[in-house]
Amino acid sequence: MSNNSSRRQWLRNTTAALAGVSLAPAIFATEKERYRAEGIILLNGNENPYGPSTAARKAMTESLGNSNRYPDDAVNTLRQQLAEFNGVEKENILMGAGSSEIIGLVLLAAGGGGYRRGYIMTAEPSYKIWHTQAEAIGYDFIQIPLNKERKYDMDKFSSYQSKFNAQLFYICNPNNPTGTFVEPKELEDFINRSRSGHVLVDEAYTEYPDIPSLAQYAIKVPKVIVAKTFSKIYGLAGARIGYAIAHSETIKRLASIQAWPNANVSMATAAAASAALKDQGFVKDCREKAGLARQMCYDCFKQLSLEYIPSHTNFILFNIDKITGDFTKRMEAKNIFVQFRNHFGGKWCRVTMGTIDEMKIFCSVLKSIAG
Amino acid sequence: MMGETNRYPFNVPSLQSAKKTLGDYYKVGEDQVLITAGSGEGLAMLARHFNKGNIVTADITFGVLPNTAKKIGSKVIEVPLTKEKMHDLPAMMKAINNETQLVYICNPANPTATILKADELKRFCEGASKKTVVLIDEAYNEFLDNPDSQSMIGLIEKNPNILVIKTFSKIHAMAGLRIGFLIGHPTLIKKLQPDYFQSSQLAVSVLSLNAAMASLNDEPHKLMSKQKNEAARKYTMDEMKKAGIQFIPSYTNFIFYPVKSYPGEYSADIFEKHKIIMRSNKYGDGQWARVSVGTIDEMKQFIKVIGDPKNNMAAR
Repeated sequence: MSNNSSRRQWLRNTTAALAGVSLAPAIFATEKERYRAEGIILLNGNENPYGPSTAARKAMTESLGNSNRYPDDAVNTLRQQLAEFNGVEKENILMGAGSSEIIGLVLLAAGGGGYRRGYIMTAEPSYKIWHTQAEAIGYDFIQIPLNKERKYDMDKFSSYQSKFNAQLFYICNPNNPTGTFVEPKELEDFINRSRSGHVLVDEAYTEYPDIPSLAQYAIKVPKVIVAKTFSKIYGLAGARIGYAIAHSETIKRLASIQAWPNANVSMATAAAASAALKDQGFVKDCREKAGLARQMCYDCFKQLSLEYIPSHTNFILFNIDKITGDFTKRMEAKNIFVQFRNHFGGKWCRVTMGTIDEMKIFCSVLKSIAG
Repeated sequence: MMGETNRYPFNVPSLQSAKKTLGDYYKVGEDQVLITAGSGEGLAMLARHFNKGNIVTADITFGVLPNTAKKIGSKVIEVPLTKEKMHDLPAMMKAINNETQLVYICNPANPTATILKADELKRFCEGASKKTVVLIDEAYNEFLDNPDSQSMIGLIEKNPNILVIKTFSKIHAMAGLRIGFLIGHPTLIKKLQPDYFQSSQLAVSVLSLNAAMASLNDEPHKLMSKQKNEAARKYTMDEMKKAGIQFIPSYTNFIFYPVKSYPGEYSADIFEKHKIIMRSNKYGDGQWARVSVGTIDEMKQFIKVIGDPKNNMAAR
């Protein structure tokens, strides 16, 4: 097996893992086998191709020498900084090793901290990598189809909640994989009417459409938890850092589930996040570039008469029913890695916005395959 | 690697071999390794996983696992240490009942810094694992003279009920990187994996994991850490003995000593008056302090403070 084909196998496996199909088995790659040298374009993980920012890299380098110490102080300072940034108090912030950890904590908290059975109401399609963990805890899912505009259907959520006594609502806003969002005000109205014990609003992508966070609302309503991440526009997916914003009592309950509150974030990661947060110029730049990349893709989809869902994020879901053969395999043959999705009774592809140059290549490859 | 922190761990090829690297080092399969964000994260996860019956451990021991278990309403049977602050293995064996799901032993022990004889612990593990899962926390194993012969990892191959948890926070000096890992039988490791969000490795920074893998085989650095710790620890214990200060002989990178008659909160006072940061706690038999072994210069400072009877910072 050549290096290239072993890498493809590895990427296929990880793509399967991303789709929640199976866990990625280890495929061995050496430093020399780096994908960049091979021109591989990763459009499969909704990562930020430009990150981390220069400021974040510098901060990481400078902090490495302190890695022998537990990160308490660095993380404490970061919490204060995040509180100010979000216009809340430090007591409203809980750090996690990615918003993935925050989601896990909310799953445990909503279940009473241990392993209990209950319902989680969420949408279909939506972000679902946490489902495995929820199943291990003992939850069942009520998955409400998106509405015609491919948005979360809050009216249906309302009508279904009387049939199922859900312990938790999970709302991904903007939604992954559709890139659509519900107006924050509409969400607040829905939550005011809802009876669920907990509402988790996953705001991984809010910085792309630049819509208001539910942070201010969450700190007043104890059942609401907002999950934020540095994995997307801040370009730090591999550094593993996210946080919760909630009422201080809710934060206390979530913190009590962690081995040590706020302690799963590495020293270098805390430094990187702190620097990244200050570098809002980088954020703005990435937002604009994602917008340009989306427009480039839309033009391409229109030319090819491919249906797509207008997105407000760094990814787009487009329909590939018309394209013959194994789409992901055909893209991989051209060194491009995307996610295949079965949604709305058809075949779709979720493509992450890479750099402008990467998207030019993506569009020309797509034209050669679908044209 | 810094430039790749925008990629999720699954998109960083060099990290896909981390479990195999660890497995090779400890002579187990990669399917026997579960990487966590520090061993504390692993301990909390295990407390949540084994939540149906009771958990047997020592009183006192490292708190993360028993405290997490208590918080979620699990029963924790805490077997008192012996007078010498050693694990009381016969009493722990007796405490195991039909409801016991997990036995947790930290060896070398935290916060007491004692060790169990390897053959006694092995016998205990073999006996107890017939009834329940036995978890040995080896965070401080590498500070021992014969770490390999003191480790229980060798028992795992034939015994699906034995788990060992380790960390990069101690001998590897990477507490701030947050990397720990579990070694167990493939069947048990497989059962634990869904307790995590997609993969436990998703909680670990790519930068940290890369650094940890580089440190794993850095024998000179580990030897240096061990020797410097030994020298500073010996100095500290010798000086404490000379000054007639009570302490529990240490096999780790910290020393546990009683300050029973100390009137206030010891750690708060020693920080305020002498700028030394350490831990103290009130137990059933009074207040105890735990000092980490720093550099030799730092320990000289420490001895200067507690060695001076006027400071009243030690029990004689």
